[in-house]
Amino acid sequence: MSRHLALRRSFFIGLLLAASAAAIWKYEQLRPVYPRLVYLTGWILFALILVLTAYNVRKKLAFLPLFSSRTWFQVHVYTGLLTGLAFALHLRGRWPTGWFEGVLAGLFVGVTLSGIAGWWLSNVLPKRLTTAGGEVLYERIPVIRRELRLKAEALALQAIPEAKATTLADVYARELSGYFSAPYNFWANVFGSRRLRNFLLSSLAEAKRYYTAVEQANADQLAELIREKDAIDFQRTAQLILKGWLFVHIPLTYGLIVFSAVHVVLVYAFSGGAR
Amino acid sequence: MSDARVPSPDFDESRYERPNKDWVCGRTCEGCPCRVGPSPSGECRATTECKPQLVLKEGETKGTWKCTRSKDWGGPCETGPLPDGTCCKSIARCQPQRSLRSRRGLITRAFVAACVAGLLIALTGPWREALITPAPLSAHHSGPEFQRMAAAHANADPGLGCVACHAEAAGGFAHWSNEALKAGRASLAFAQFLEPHPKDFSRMDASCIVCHQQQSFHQADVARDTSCSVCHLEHQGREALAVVGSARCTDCHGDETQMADSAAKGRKLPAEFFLKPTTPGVVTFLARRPSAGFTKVISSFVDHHPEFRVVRANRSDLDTLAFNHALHLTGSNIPLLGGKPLECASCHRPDASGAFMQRVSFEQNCRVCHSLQFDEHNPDMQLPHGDATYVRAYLRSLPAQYAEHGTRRLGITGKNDLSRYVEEQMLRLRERTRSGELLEEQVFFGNLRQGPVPATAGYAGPGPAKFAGCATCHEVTARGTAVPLITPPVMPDRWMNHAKFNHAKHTAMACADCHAAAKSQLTSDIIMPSQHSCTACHSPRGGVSDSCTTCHTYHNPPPAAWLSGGAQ
Repeated sequence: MSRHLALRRSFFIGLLLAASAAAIWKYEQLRPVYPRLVYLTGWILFALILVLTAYNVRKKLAFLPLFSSRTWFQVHVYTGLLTGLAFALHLRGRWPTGWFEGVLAGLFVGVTLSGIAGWWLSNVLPKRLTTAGGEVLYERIPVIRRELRLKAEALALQAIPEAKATTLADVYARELSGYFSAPYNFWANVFGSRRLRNFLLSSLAEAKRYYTAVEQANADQLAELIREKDAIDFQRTAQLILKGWLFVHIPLTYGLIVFSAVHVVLVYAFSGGAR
Repeated sequence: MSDARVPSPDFDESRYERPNKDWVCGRTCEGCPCRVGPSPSGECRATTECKPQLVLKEGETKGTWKCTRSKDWGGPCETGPLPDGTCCKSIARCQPQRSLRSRRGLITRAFVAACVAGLLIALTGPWREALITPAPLSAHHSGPEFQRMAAAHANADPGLGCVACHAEAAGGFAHWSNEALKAGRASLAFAQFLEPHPKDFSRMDASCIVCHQQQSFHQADVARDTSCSVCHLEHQGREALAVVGSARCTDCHGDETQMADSAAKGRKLPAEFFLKPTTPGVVTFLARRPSAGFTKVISSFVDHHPEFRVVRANRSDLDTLAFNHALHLTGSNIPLLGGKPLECASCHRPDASGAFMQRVSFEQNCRVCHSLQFDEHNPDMQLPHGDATYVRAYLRSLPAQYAEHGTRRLGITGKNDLSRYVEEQMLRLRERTRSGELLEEQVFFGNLRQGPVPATAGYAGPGPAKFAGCATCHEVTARGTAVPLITPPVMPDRWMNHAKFNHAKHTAMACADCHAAAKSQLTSDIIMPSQHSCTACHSPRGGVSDSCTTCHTYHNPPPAAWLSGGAQ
């Protein structure tokens, strides 16, 4: 992490802690005096949720000159953490036991946890991708995979007319054709396992003593293609995860807004002098 | 993690990706999407690999069709276009797939739709009340008996739910929305959130008052009533309704403006409005409210609570019964009782609940030492206690009393023996008191302060106290020939009517820790504890609860004067 980034992160974390401490101090100061403070914390919480949701809208309106996406993301993350504090203050230390409020609180916790998980993934996975090397657009991965497959098939078949031998082609057909034809190894890549790749490389190497000279040269190139395929699978896995957590975060967010709106109606309709 | 480098794709830079599109070519996953791509509505637009171009050279009328196939498809084909100008390489059509972004949007919309549908079902179905209730009701507002009472008040069928208290619950979601808007404009307007004393005594509280009549009264000088729910939060679980913190009290009592308004109102009200109704049969010490009232700001028991009304300056016990606590507890001539010196518990015994002390009575607590024996030779002969008329009647019928005593207690049966016994006793009495009038005077007006033990006290010396005369303890007023007036003593059962106390919870302490009885020599001394003696324990430093509700109750019964029309 560059010094600039570290400084900026420290600044935001400091700002968040200061804002949290100030919010708690002010809340504790106001709580004994204002019996209806819970309504205020509720509206603040709802407003914060809407502000956080606006980040998704901002991404759709990329043409608007409203700060950079990185700035929005930083604001989104730290505002999200502050929203967690607002949620805790709104609940006043009591987890709701009713069905409706339980679902509402569950949605909020789901959004918050998925957001934190996404934040963590957004910090961890890009570094792993950088370490893995290369920079591939997710949408181009199938094309690259196809190219790798075509190259591998060509290498496997090339030896047949030249070396008059089918050993490498047989190994390819038996062990490697499925590997090159589709995305592979998702969970192994999630957990950083090299087991499958090593198995394939060893399968290729085991038949080494039967290869002709031409096959041997092609087998070496095939081994390199296996590594490249493994790398592209890792890219796909990591990028899919980076995109996939939003499949939880965003639907839960909009569900939370729907439930929150109904919660406001219920609270106001049934308040009747209640706090 | 892989250690291989990702192959650098050799892409045509003009073919940049558009991830924001909703549809992608169905062959994308195979790695060979067509260049045209699907339409915005997700239909395949694939036709042929190129659109041949008609090339007309000078002088030609028909021209030649030229293949324009792109590099992606391998460049111009060898076969070339068909004679009619159509491409010979048709593209196999595909089933376009939704993009990742589009799928996410679809899932989001589906989830929102599911939420809305679920809510519609939940809020319109018969189980909606069970679903929207934030938490179980308190035990007081649960169960069939409450349902029955609520239904009776609401003139509705038993078994009704939220509507018993929330009138707006009768309608549907549209009605709730309307009610929410109304509340948003009135009691729950934004300005109300930072209002220290929000009041809304119109909707929910009206439901409370239906059952809890007269529970809205606190003090006559309250400037603005407080909503029930400010203190009693419902839907907090089975047991939580009655838990009220001191903060709710100091909302008003800690607010200068509120207290100033209350003081201004209190000055206009008659003193009778501040008399707390007493329990019938319970004697309560009347400590009048100060003219300025108790409207100073009180934020805590330790710092701002005024001194107890009963021990404030110039308060004294107006009881006429002469009693010296110090003498009884520390006097050297006080005989032992049951082998032990007198102590507080010798006379003051807790009642059945243990909260308060039983009333001290002559028969139970005094007679054991202070017998009303007026004749030292007949210790069983005792004057009646309680009514001066009976005493006089007793004294004026002494021959008959001696005869009764001789017959019943001494077992004298012979008429002559009895007459002789009576004459002997009367003669001995006359020798000492000379006349019946003088005896009567000594009985009523004699006291120990008149010097040597009067004749009625009999022999002096150690032992139980000798009866010296009613005036020893009582205030006796002569009324000519009529029976002297003995002012009935009035000993309060309750000294602090505006607070509650429980002796049983203070048994770890000695009586003297709070009541300085050993130093009190006068009846007029009020030996009740001061606020300071309470704050030693009831304070943050002492560690025992110092909340307002430890001693006080908000719901005071309205004074009779207030109820009889004065409230307006």
